[in-house]
Amino acid sequence: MSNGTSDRPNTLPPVRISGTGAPVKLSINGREVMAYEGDTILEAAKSVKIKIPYLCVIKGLEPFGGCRLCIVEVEGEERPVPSCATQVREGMVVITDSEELLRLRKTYLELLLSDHNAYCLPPCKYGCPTNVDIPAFIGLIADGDYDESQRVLKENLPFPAIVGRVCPHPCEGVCRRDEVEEPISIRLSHRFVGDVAIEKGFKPEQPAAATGKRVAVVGAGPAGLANTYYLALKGHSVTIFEALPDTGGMLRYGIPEYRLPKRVLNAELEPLWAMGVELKTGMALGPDFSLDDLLGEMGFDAAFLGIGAHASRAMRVEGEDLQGVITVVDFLRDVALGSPPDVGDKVAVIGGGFSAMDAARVSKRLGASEVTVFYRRTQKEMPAHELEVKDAMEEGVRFSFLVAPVRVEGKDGRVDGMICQKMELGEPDASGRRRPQPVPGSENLVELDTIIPAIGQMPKLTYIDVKKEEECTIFPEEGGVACTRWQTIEINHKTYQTGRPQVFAAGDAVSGALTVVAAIGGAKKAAWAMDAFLRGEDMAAYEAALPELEKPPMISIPAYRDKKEARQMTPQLPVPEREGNFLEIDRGFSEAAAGVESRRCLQCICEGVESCKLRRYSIGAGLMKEEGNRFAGVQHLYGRDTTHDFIQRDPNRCIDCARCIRVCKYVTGSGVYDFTGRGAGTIVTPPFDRSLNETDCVSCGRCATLCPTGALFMKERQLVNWHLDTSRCIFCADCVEVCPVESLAITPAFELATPSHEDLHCNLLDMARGPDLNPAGACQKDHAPRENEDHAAKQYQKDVHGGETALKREQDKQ
Amino acid sequence: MLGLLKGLEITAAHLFRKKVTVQYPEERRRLPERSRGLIRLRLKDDAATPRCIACTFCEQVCPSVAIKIIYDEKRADKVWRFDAGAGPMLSFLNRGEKPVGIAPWPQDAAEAPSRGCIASSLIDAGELTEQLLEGLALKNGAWVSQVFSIATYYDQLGPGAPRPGEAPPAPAERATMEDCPQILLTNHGGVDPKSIDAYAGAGGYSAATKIITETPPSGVVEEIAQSGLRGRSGSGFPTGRKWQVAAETLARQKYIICNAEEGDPGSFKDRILLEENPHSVIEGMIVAGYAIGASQGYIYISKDNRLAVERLRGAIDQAEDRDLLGTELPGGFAFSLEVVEVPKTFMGGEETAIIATLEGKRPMPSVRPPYPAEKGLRGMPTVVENVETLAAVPWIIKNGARAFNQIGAPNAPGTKLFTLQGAVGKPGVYEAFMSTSLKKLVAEVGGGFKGEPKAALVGSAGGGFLSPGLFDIPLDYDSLREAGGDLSSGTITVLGADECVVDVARQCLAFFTRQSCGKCVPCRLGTWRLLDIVDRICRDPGAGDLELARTLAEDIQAGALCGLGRASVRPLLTGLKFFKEEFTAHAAEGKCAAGKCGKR
Repeated sequence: MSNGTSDRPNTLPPVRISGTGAPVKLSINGREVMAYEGDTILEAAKSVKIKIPYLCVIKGLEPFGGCRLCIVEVEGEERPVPSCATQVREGMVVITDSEELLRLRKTYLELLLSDHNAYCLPPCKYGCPTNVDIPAFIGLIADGDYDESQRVLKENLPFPAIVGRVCPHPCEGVCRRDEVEEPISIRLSHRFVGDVAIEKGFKPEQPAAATGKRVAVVGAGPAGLANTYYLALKGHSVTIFEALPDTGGMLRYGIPEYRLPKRVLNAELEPLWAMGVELKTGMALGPDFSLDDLLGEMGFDAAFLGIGAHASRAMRVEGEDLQGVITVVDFLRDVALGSPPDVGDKVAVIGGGFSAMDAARVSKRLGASEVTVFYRRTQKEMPAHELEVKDAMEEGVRFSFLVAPVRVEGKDGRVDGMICQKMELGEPDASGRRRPQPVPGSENLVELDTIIPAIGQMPKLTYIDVKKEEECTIFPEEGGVACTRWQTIEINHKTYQTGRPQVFAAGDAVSGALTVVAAIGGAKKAAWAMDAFLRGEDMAAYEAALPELEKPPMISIPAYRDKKEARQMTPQLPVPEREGNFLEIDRGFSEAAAGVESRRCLQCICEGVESCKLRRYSIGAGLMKEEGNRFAGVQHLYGRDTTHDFIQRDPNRCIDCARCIRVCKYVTGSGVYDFTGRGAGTIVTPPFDRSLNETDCVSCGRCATLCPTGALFMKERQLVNWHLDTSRCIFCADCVEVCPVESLAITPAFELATPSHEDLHCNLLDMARGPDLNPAGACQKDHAPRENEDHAAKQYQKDVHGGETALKREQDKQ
Repeated sequence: MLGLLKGLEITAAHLFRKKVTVQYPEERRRLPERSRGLIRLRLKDDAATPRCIACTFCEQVCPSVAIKIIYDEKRADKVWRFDAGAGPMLSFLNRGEKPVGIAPWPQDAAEAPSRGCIASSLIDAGELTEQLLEGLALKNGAWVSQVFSIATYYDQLGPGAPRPGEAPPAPAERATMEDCPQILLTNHGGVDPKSIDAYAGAGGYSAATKIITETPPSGVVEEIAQSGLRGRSGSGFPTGRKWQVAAETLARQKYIICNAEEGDPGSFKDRILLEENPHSVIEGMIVAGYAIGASQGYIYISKDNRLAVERLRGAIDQAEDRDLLGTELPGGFAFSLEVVEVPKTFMGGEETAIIATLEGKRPMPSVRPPYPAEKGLRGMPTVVENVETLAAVPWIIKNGARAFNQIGAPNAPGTKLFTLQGAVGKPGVYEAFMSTSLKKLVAEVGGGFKGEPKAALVGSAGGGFLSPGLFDIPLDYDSLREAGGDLSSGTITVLGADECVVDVARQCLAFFTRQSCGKCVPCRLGTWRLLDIVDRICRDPGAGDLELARTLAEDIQAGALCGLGRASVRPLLTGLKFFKEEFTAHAAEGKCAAGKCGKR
């Protein structure tokens, strides 16, 4: 914020701030500023909009000078001076933003963050493509409120039991508990809630009133199903078209039973059918119908393409088309369909991803005695999760690293071997992984019966036309749905619209083969966009109004707990019992384990995140999570006071700025807070750590409004009942006077001024809400207004009866 | 007949009058403007949600208790959970079991004693209970939170709290260097400190009586200014200039405070002066009070210095008897003295913290300006001077500013008391010229070095190291500051070959970490984190720790609020400057030549 010299005329500030003396002229950041004697540098700078950060200043009270952020350089002074306390002098030369000052402020902010045992926003939530509210649902597991927990989950992630089994959990990678010991088991907690919801049969969310709009969803994979779920919830009528005989896409036909049992898949999809979603299987886009058919004669208002990535990438080696070479997608699908191919004894799986691991482990279960995974890099670079690799190794799958296939050898049109080449790692490529390079002259032959290439998948945008017997693309029309050069569907990444406005797309078909959770995240946002589209909103406006989906900045607060608690483990099916069957391996959390795990969660959320000055300055100073905190160490850990009706207090977030102390003592006179202790352990708290309820607190809330962090925060509450004892009311209207939100008024109806003797208590809230809500009682007998309706009476009518007057009702009756 | 007609007349008259009754409810009466009906609730524009935020103000204000409000906490879309992993609120209350001790003070709040300020009222307490603190608050017109804050500041709360004890014994050796006039240690060995007669017999109180009768206050200020006397507490601020500001500021009341806290570990000079020559300090205060126009003085002292307190009180009583102190003194001058005892702390010795303490606030330094000389105790001009400074004042008055100005260094005239300890032959308190070098001091009065000295820490925990190469620089404010150190209280610890500079620097830092008042960020959190880093360097060094320690220390020095905060990193910074190899050996190789550090 360089202010530099300005052409502004050197006029006096129009209003005297606190100075009462003669006008003086000083220079701030090379700019001439006029002020009055008695003004502080901070005030003078403020008057010309030069910003100096501060945390502890309260306007009108004596300067405190504790935060040291408002320090500025004054010519002639040995060291920086606090601008909140230093008064202006004639000819003073002030610098507010030198390198040195910025560095000092950064250090002090970093020190504050190093003992700020709280966090603003949950990194896990923003690490997940679906942005599911992880701290909330984990907190609810700890509370034992599983129903609410699954409701919170399904707001953003409709299939917790499924995703909780197959997700590579990017959320856990950014979990702050990792800094203490290990991250929270977020994935298994999802699964736990999903399983409980299925087991206990929690009531699914009810869809909104029907809108009458019809949507066609093409593909019943994770993307299509998630899209359907959110569209159906909004009240749209959805029909799913699926080429394969059943729903699930890769969930059913790609992921083996031992990772995701079909019964879980079926159970989790139940709410969809309960909402009246129609399913048409055996209908493939292209051969059976086209987009024109859907939007034309079939009468759909919009269509969603969730066709996934079902085409395998070729190895591009000689002999690839021999019998016995079977792509991983075909292989896993055939197994799921119940017609597993004969793999023989020796199986080679090429690749290091999830499907490679699946193919290897399935082959083993099908009876292959020797299954080897060939990967051209090392174990460290494998895209598959390390636990998957570990499991595969335990089950007897062999791994051959730094090896790539060169040629498939065959006999009589059938595979009998593969020539491999040794590789070595060279320079890192664009993805940051070191590119493997062949070692010349290192070829050797491996004897094999089956080769399963699993080196990547892409969307299948072509089909074999039955009539013409030639390959056709599924989007034949010009100017409609377009493809990128990676053979994926091109979309607007905010509205999820393809080139055809009524057609939306998400999932693997758009991104290329990615994770289930990424597909669900995209499909959910596509559903929101489609809902807007179907309601007839302007999509350009929708796009503009869409909140930035980017990750919010995460500041560098180290995580700390004094006790280390190990991550909970789930029981696994023993390796010998896995042989030859597809029983689920991971048994999931018990209720007790899920409870223990959920209580490890640091709950990285803060109510004050939007108003927090500490956060704002820290972001400004560039104190980001990735860079870490130089002063990370032991932190103070305090309990929270949530007993007070209005003000909730979390000393963990306190930065000892003493604003609450000063405003409480010297403005309201209550003196609730003060510093306690000495040294680094100094903390602001009421005496004897009393709850605020036991102090002289008058609930004025000024401390909470002044708190620069979320340490003091106003609680929100809602009215349940407003009882008035009419026999006691003396119609003084004092209550009307004190009401800060003008919620109270006096009825102009004099009849109500007479206490009724039938029922002395009346609930004003029910009365206000109108006769329908009000049970028969004295108070509602007659509260019609005077005949000559003045404005107040009209207002009363509007408030009490929602616009309908008693008189009108009577007229209607007659 | 007539009666009948009269009756009919009334009927006829009323027949044409306006009717009183109305056909309610079809017909309504018009109500007077200020009529009031029943209370009603207004709704928001959606005609469904109440405007009411359930603040219960109406419930509280209702004079006839007719209102009762029932509310619920709002559970919006977000579900917050609060107490995940929360620990006990504050550690100091968990030191042990709940106190069961019997309070030494009456439990009745009204009878809780008051000793002028809260801090000094605390010192008699054996076990501070909630009731006692509330009584104290009531008695002192303070908030309970304020009393609690001060009690925890002085570590006076909870069963494990340290009780005021006896101050550690002072070294016995006293001497004045050759050629050096005895200005401060005049009474040593000779005159009885308990007797005012002995002091007066040796020419005492002549300065005070002389100026009150002969010199105007401005002349006294001028005399002190010309003498070049500088504050002996460490800052070295010219005393004359401070007095001048206070004297020229118009106020109905001014104060003079003698800072006898002497928080520097290992410093004994103030205590020795008060124990052996209390009258010289009192005389100095009378002169100062006369010069600036103060009628009230305070001597702020740690309760632990029992002998000093006792002697001071005795001396004040005697001086009052002789009409040297009191509200009505001959010559129209009034000056009273009060001894304020407080629990021992380090930060309590900072001048603005002393003022806060005397005002009944938590001893935290405040931002300057305004300086205390303009606006100090209770908003009045206040001069805070060190014991040693005040003790030198009578000599200056008696012998003249010129005589004082001619001894010692040109920009730091006079003599200074040095507390010498560590690897020297005769540890003790010595008076010497300010221009004396350490080498000379140790050789002439200190009994020589014990073995080859490795370093000297000048100025206690807030001072700086000197390498043996610098042992011959003059021990005055400016030369030491140039070397990165500080004269501070004049405490000199000589480190022998078996001492580790890193370890000593760490101990100094640990002292500050415990003593920080908690007000400003660099001192409260900075020293704590710096201690962590230096601890690491001693124990288990990581890459970059040394550089990090240096940057953090420099940043603390640049931004700390008070002088004591800035002093906290001085041993470390001077250590890094003069003993870089030793620090590098620790940080890079994990080696401690003295064998003091290592994996603990």
